This record gives sequence, structure tokens and C-alpha cells, in this order.
Amino acid sequence: MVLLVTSDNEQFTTEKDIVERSVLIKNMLEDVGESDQPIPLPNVSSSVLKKVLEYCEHHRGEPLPTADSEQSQDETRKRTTDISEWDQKFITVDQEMLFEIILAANYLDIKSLLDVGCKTVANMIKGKTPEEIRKLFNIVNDFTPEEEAQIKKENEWAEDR
Amino acid sequence: MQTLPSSQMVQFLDLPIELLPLILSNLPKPHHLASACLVNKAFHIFAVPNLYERASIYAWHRDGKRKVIQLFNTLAECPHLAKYVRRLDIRDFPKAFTLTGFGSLDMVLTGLRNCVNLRACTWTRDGSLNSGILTALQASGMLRELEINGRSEDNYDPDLLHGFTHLTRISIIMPSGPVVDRLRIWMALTGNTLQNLTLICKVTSSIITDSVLEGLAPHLVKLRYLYLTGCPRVSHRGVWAIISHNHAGLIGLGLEGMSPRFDMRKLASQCIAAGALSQLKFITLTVHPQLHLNAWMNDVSFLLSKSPLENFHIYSTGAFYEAPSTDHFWSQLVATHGNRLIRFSVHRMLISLRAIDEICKRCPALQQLYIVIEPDSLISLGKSLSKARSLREIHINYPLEAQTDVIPVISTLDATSIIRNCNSTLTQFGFNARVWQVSRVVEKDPNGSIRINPKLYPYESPDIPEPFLVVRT
Repeated sequence: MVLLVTSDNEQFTTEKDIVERSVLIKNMLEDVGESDQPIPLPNVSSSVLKKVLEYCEHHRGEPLPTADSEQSQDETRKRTTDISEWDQKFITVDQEMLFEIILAANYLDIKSLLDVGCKTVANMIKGKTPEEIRKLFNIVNDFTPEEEAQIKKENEWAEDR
Repeated sequence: MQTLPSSQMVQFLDLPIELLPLILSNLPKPHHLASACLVNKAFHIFAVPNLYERASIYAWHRDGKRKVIQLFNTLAECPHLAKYVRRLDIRDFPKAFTLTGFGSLDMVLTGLRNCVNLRACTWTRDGSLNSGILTALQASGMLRELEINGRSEDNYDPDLLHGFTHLTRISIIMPSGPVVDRLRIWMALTGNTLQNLTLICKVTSSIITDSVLEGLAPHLVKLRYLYLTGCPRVSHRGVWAIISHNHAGLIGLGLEGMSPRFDMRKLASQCIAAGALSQLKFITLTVHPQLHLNAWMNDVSFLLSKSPLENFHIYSTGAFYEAPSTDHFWSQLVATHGNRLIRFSVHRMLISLRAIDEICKRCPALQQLYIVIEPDSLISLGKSLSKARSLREIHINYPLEAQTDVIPVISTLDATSIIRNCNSTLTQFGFNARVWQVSRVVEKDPNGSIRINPKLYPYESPDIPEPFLVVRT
């Protein structure tokens, strides 16, 4: 069993093979060796860790991606929005939790969870105008009108009209 | 639960910037990437490489000819964008004599020369390729894949083809005599790297013959994929010449619209005796009206009997075949290759519901199923499809003779009922001339529980949908 301590000081006890889906924790455990010491996760709150552990438990036993199993560029472009049904239900959360999960997956180095999060954000972007995307994510337009006009002209060939 | 003040809430902008490319890599459609480019400077920096990595103009794009000129304008004026282009698909282009109305050829050539990292180029429109374009394409030392229109007369100097060496893939559409005459030397120059050769001719063409293939064979020792389409003067003799010289071992073989004298039994015997085709995963075959279908199907089963087949595709070039005559063949295929089959694709040949059911049940890896069924079988189809646990794409065609001038469409109700029967792995649904993407939407019940329902969305990928790539004669 492994003991994890979140940023808000909650303790989670979980099984090693579940938590080792996080490359960060796996490496920590390997470095520390057999130990009862709790692992501090100062960047993850209890509500987010609960979700992350739910994900890891569901995908327990599935093969982990290895460095040399990187998809070729063509394959990368082919995959679109294929999120499995369970993952889709799992990631149906409010925007804040979605970004918290992405941050945690990035910090804990859980590639498949990071993918699901990024695909979900991509799906939110699809079909929206630049202004709608800015509004959705509170992004400020930092282009001058001239820059904006230039980019529009350069990319006109790609527009659906 | 404590609510954080809004300033402490995690927002999109709190995500590390290095995640933005990962997010944007999930947008396959150029239009979506073009919108992302305009959000702000950070989005622009990371969306631009994805947008330009592959630039495609298809004939069915609205205003394709105007778009292709806009694209080349940008590539000519913005070398910093052109350097991202790795793949260029030009399937629509104004013919030379109309070019002046759109822009100058110099602009097109400058644009092409700016694509210094170009790896693959498709330029297929008849009459749109010229010597200048071919020379400009040779400027990119990175070019490995070339798909061109093969009618050189009045268009380009066929000798220029010899300048394309180190290619891994060549596809020639409708080659004319002068181009075929250059093939032998060209293959000698690039055969050392060539893995994929596709020759697509008109069915009435007599330009590719057994002798032509015999001449090319000694240079095609590294070939992994050979696709011949519309070659009525090619028999087992020419194909065997290539297979017998090949050292690498073919992974894909397409023989569409071959000679009526093609002796499948002879080819099968030669291949089996020599242990050839022991790596073959993809096969495409056509049946024609003169065939003794049963004997031919037995020969094909024999030909493939030692191959680790994963993708099977067959279609009729003439007569329409009714289901019972083919049922035994499908059964045999499933018995030999069922465990491995990923794609099962049949066009212009009716396939019985019983056979479909067997395929779905006995091919656990099946991802793509393209079939022809009678309209009145549509409703019962869902039950069989539910047995295909890995199915990603289904395409349904009605028999040609059932189609009048108006191509039948499917009601949303019928389509939804079919995709609901399919496993949640399904990502693509097609019916006759249309293809949709299947995505799952999350719906909340009044009681708060979450349900996931499959829905049809417009097709997004820049790739031509596979079911439309497979029938060429």
C-alpha cells in the first residue's frame, strides 16, 4: 500500500499498481524503495486526487505507454475525438475540474489521462469562432487589427466557406 | 464545500503553455486550426505548424480552384509558413491555360520551392501538371512520396521523372505511353528505396502489359505494396514476375481490373510453392463477368492460405453477384483469417445477412466493415453489428440496380438505430455516398444520471474516407 498526502493535507491509502500509472509516483517509489513514508503531492488537492485515483483504478492493469511506442505523425493526425465511453463519462465535469485534472495528469505524468483531458478541451474548441473560443476560456486578443487581417489573409485557403 | 474566489479558480490560462500543442494536435480539420490561429499569439504559434503540416485541396471543396491559388500565394509570400508543409495534396488546380485568370505560374513555383521540407506531394488533375512544377518539386531533397497524373503529352517532359530518386512511394494516375516508356529507367534509379508502387489506368487501357511489368520487376526488389488498377493486359505472368523478383516480401497487393486471361490458380500455385506472400496483410481483388466464380474463389482462398491477412477487399467490375453464390467464400475466409481480419470490404456484390453475422461474430479484431445489402435488410443489420466488438467504421451500400438517379439517403432515425446497436468503439458511419463521424454526447437525465449517446457529425479528417478510396475501376 502507498500513502499519499494532498495539498490540503488529506491522506489517501491506495494500492501500488493503481498509483503507479503515474510515472512521477512510480519513479518516487523506485527511488525511495520499501518505505512507510507518505508521499507528499503539494500540487494536487484531495478533490482532484480522488478523481485521478478513480481513473487509475478503472484503467488498472492496462499496458502503460512506453517511450518507444510513440505514434507516427500520420497516426497522430488520424486520431480524432475517440474518447472511450467510460472516459467520456469520467471527464464530464465542470471546466474548473477539467483543468485541475489536466494539471494533475501533467504533474503526475499520467499520459493517457492527459490525452483524455486535452482531447476534451479540443472538442470544446471545435466549430467555434476565435471570439467564441476567447470568451469560453477568458483569453485576451493580443493581436493588432493589422496582424489579425494578415493572418486571416494567409490562412484563407483553409476556411470553410 | 468551500467555494474559491474566482481569482483562485483554475482557468484555461493556468494550463502550462506546453500543453497547448497537445490540445491543438487533436484538431484535424484545417478550418478549426485556422480559427485557433486567430485566438491570440500563443494559439497562433502552436496552431500554425499543424495547419500547414498538411495542405489539401480537393476537387469537391467549394471554390477549390480559388483556394489552391490562395494557398500558393501564401506559400510564395510566407516562406516561414511554407517550411512547415510536409504533405501537399493538390487534387484540384486550374489547367494551364486558365491559370492567368487566377495568378501567375511563377507564384506557384515560388510557393513550391519554399516548401523545403516537403515529403509527399499529390498532383492528380489531368492537364494541370507541367515541367516547371516537376522541377520545383525536385528542389525539395526531402520528397519521398509522389502521386501524379501520368498524362505527360502537352503537359510535361516525361524525362523529368528520372530526377525523382529516393522515393518510397509512387502512384501514377492514367499513365500515357511516354511515361510508361520511362518507368524502367525510373525504377532502376529509385527502386532501391521504393516500397509502394501504384499504377491506375483506364479500364480500356492497354498500356501496362506483362512485358512492361517483367521489365520493371528486377528493380522492384524492395517493394512492399503493389497496386495495379485497370490493366486488362496484365495477367498472372506479369504479377508473378514482380513477386518472384521481390526480396522484401509484399505486404499489400491490389489486382483490380486485370486480364480475363489472368490465371489465379497458376499464380496461387507459384506463390505457395515459393513461399511468397507470407507477409501479405492487404489484398484487393476484383471479379469480372467472365469468371467461373466458384473456381476463382477457391483459387483466391488458396492464394491467401499462407498469408497473415488482415485487410480483405473485393468488388465486382461488371455483373452484380447475388449473395448465395459467395456465402461459402466468406465462410472460408473467416475460417482461415477471422482471428486477424481488421477490414472486410465488399463493393458491388450483395452479401447475405447470415454472412455478415458470421463475420461480425468470428472476427474479434474487425474494425472496418464495408458491405452491400438490400434495403429491406437494413433494420435487421444492427443485431449482427452489435457482435463486432472492435468495430470502428461501418459503411453500407445498397445494390447499384436498386439505385435510381437519386442516390438513396438514410433517415436519421434509421442511422441512429444502427449506430446505437454498434459497440462504443464506432467512430465512423457511412451510407452510400455519405460519411459521418460518430461521436458520443453526454446527456444528463432529469434524475442527474449521465448517459452517453452516439450521434452523427460531419466528417472532419483531411483524409478521404476509406470506403471511397477502394473502388477505382
